[in-house]
Amino acid sequence: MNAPRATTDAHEVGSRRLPPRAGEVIDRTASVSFTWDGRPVTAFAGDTIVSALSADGVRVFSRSFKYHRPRGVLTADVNDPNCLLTVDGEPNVRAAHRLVEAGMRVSSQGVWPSLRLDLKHATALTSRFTGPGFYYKTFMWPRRLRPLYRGVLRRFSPGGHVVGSGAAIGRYEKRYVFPDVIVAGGGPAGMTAALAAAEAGARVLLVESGHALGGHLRHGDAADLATLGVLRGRVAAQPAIEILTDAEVIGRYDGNWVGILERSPGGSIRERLSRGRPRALVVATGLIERPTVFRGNDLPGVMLSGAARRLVNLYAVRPGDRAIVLSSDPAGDAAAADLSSGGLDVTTIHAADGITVVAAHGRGRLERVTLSDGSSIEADLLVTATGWSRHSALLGSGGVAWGTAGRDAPAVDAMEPPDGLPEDVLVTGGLAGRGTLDELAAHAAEVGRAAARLADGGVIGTLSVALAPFESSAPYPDASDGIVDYCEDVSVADVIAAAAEGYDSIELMKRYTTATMGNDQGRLSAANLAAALARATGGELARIGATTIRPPSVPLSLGVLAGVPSTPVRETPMHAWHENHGARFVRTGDWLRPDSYGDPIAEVTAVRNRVGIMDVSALGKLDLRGPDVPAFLDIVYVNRWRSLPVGAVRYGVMVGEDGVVLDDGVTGRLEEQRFLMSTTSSGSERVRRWLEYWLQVERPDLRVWLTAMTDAYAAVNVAGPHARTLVARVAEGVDLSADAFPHMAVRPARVAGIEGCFMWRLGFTGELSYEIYAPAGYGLHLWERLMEAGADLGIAPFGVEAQRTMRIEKGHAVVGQDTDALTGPFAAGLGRIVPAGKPQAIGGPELDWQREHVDELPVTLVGLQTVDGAIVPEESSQIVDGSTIIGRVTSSRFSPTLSRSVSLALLRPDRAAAGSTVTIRLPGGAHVPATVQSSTVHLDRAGERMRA
Amino acid sequence: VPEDPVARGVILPAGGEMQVEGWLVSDRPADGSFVLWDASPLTKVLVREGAAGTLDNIVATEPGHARWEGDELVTCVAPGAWSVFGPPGARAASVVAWDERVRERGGHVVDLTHARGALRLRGPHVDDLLARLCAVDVGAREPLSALRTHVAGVVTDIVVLDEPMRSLLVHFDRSYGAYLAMTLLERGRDLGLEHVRPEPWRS
Repeated sequence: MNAPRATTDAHEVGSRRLPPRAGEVIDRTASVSFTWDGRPVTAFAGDTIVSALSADGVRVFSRSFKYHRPRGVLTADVNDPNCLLTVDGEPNVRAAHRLVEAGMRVSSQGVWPSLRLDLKHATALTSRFTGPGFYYKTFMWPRRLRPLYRGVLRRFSPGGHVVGSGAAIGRYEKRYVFPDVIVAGGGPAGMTAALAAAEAGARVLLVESGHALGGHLRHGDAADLATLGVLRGRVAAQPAIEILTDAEVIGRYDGNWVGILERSPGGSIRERLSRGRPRALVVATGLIERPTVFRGNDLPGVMLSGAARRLVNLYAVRPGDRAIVLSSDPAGDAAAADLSSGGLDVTTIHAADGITVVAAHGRGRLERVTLSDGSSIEADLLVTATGWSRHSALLGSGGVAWGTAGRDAPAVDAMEPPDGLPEDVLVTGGLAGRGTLDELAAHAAEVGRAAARLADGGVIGTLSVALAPFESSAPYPDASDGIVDYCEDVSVADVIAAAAEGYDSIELMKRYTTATMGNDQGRLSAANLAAALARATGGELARIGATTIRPPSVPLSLGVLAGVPSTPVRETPMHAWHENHGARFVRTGDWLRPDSYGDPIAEVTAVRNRVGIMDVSALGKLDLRGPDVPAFLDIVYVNRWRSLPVGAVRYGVMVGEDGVVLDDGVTGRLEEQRFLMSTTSSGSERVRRWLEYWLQVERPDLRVWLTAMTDAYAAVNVAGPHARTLVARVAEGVDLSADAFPHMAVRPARVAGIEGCFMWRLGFTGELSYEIYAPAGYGLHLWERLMEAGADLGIAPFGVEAQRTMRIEKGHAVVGQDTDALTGPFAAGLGRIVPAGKPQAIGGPELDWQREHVDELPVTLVGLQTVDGAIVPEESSQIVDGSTIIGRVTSSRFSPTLSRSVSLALLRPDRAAAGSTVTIRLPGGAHVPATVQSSTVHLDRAGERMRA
Repeated sequence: VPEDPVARGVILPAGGEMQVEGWLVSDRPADGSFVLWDASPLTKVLVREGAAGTLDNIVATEPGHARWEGDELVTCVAPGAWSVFGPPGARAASVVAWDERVRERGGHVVDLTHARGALRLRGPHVDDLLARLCAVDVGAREPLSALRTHVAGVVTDIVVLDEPMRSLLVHFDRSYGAYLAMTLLERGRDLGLEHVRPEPWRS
């Protein structure tokens, strides 16, 4: 954005701008240019978009939700439901609150072809037939047309759309805050409570929705401004108070977990969600002005007294020329005085005189007002000041109920103590009751001190200052027409019609008409909806109750809920090399592993014919030390371990007490009392927890030290016919001959100059294979040395996909892929490693049963080959016998080594005889025949390659 | 590829490279006061007590605290286990020394130098940055306090050093290091956070 341009000519900026006002917040020395629906507009710094446009003579800002009726300013603050605009591609911006910035592109939204001439307004012609429930009744059938209905209805929605990628909107951030006390509401009561709490020693976060502290004092009279000046000065001088303006508390959750929405907190951050758990939450959100219901109450030019006072006093905007003020409240008289001082021709109607407004008339904007005495007055501005509602959404959304008659029941004039107010929540200000400014200040100060006591570990205690019960001065509407909910375009007539259909409870009425479900979340409509429903049903207002308020109590963007995308990932020490060499990564648990380097078939060929290296650092590694490790392994593995000599490696399978396979891997005996266990990459943490449980809970007598060492070692698998040649070039201090270092052995070594390495003779590919473990910091050095040393051998890196193909060729099962939540070792083809009668093993009785009933197991793992070897059945394809599922393909790839498909499958044992033909049902329904193999191993059944 | 092995930490060096005891690290000098450097070359040793007896009197560091013992920083975030940090290149000596001290009491020592990544954060905005990523009020912690928490979703141990200004040592499973460092640098960019060359241990 460009910096504001200094100007001294106020008359350039808006034709309806008033001379300077005492409390104005605009900077007349700095003009700001932006565009409105493509037209240039000049404003002052400090203007909101709506105040700037109002000063420019704009009266219509949007079209209504359903009938596309023209809408103008209603509240002129953050709650204004009629002023949602699109700003620089960001939809649904609250333009009565968002400040102007130089270069802004502001546009109306959801209109066609223009805001001025919106042809969608034609829906108003059908309003007789499109009452409440119209959508539910009309757009349900036929079912196949629902996508069409959805598309059409969306076109009629006035909600904006994100333009482009949304990147121009800015960033959305999250953070945590740590105050002792959070004060929601920066009006006089909130400021006073914050001051008292801070002076008592608490760290306070004061949250105000407006652009500055002060609440209603900001647009008040000279006395209000003087009071505000004193309060602001004291707050500013108090270092223990952090002030967040343009921010709102969005909800209070269990344990006083509080969320705060900060709008435009600085830099390129559009919105920030701050979260904290204060010892005390002080709610001082005050009251909210309630619209008056009469026919035509949504015409542009009809607004609340607060809106008129904000436009006149904060922004020096003349909102009309000839005004009528309907007043049953001091705020109405104050608004009338402000308008008069602004030079408007003002007529004040006092409800106490028995006269009220019956209807407002005009084409697209207010032109005339009809009063209850039958008279009619020409006017372009109608200001209403007929009552207040508690701004209790924050408390309500936290489950706090006001009295027995409902949370927002407008008939409950007396302010009863709220039910269920948590011990760490306090209420003050207009929300807590009625009083003079001094009385409210005394109450707020006491509440602030009580909050500080709470923060210090004390209790609230008894408050000595009590406020008078809240009294509503509102004459509840007796209108048969008029808008109840501005956001959802719900009228009194709609409520009457819905009630006649039987929707006579407030919750049903809400869902059927969608009243209170719009962007103001019922702040402006809840009270009038209850009143209209009471009138429609003939019931008592006090018994109508209120709709349930749910958090968040403030409308939020999806962006701020998401925040900055941040998903933890684990990288191996060689990750940068993989990235630089075109690796495509696959996520395994949190790990990012190279899936391939572009051509997995070529990678398989390289390993089968020459030599390849694979980064297997992600494999889980557990260090076990102590004299009782063999006994412990005998417990946690199904096979025997006490006889394992130093330097030997054994494959093991873990099962749970139900005999189901948990994980598998190899464990090597590095020293007499030191073992290193490998696990699957994604199963390492689960296995560690499992082992810790057995060590700490079941067998604390065993002298075993278990340490997770997955990240301690970088690991490289060197596989292929030339693997020994390559390893010999980099390894020192180890005899690599097949006799001295056979398959399933482990040796300490110095590799590529790195001390402290271990070399294992094993691998998953079925080739002559070594795994080299080096201290993790040296992983990249080891990898680069191997690539360099193997250049003349045709070395190639290979990834998970190539390894997957080779392990299926070799018939190696993967736990979790070739087993499921019911598969035991016998079903997985691993029964040969389960010794009979082995004591102590976890799941022993289950394993005995599996051995005795191996033919009765539900499935068994088999090798499978499609009759047409060119067909590679998709993994998870069903194996069927007519309409009966008898198994499924668990792993499947095309083998470049065998030039045909290779598959593993879990199959019913009675259909798993070698040589029998089964039918695979491919996704899409095609059936292909396949032959059951005599073994899961497709390649090198004698194991000559890997034992070379 | 050099003949002599070179070890790497968790962040690719920025603005030039240099070696510290065989570890390749950034050689970029600091422009401002808010800095991050890769402290992975530090010696890291885990000391644990067994069921046989307590090591409290030997290690003398309560959970939630850290203390200096010569060149070594002994930290504790949970009962019965201590992470000991020392200058780069001292891991063999440290393991031997600690093993001698705790073996008789049933203690156990493991070298975690390569298993754990470590970062140092120093400067005036440390607490602001942590507040964006961590639900614990690190700013309220006294110097030489230690805690385990989540930072950007990663289980991380934090030690408050504050010598001579606000300064943290954060350590974590090494494989999360690149993600964590990138996240800290990204979220701290508007605060002026820069990746710089390591400063000497106990500077």
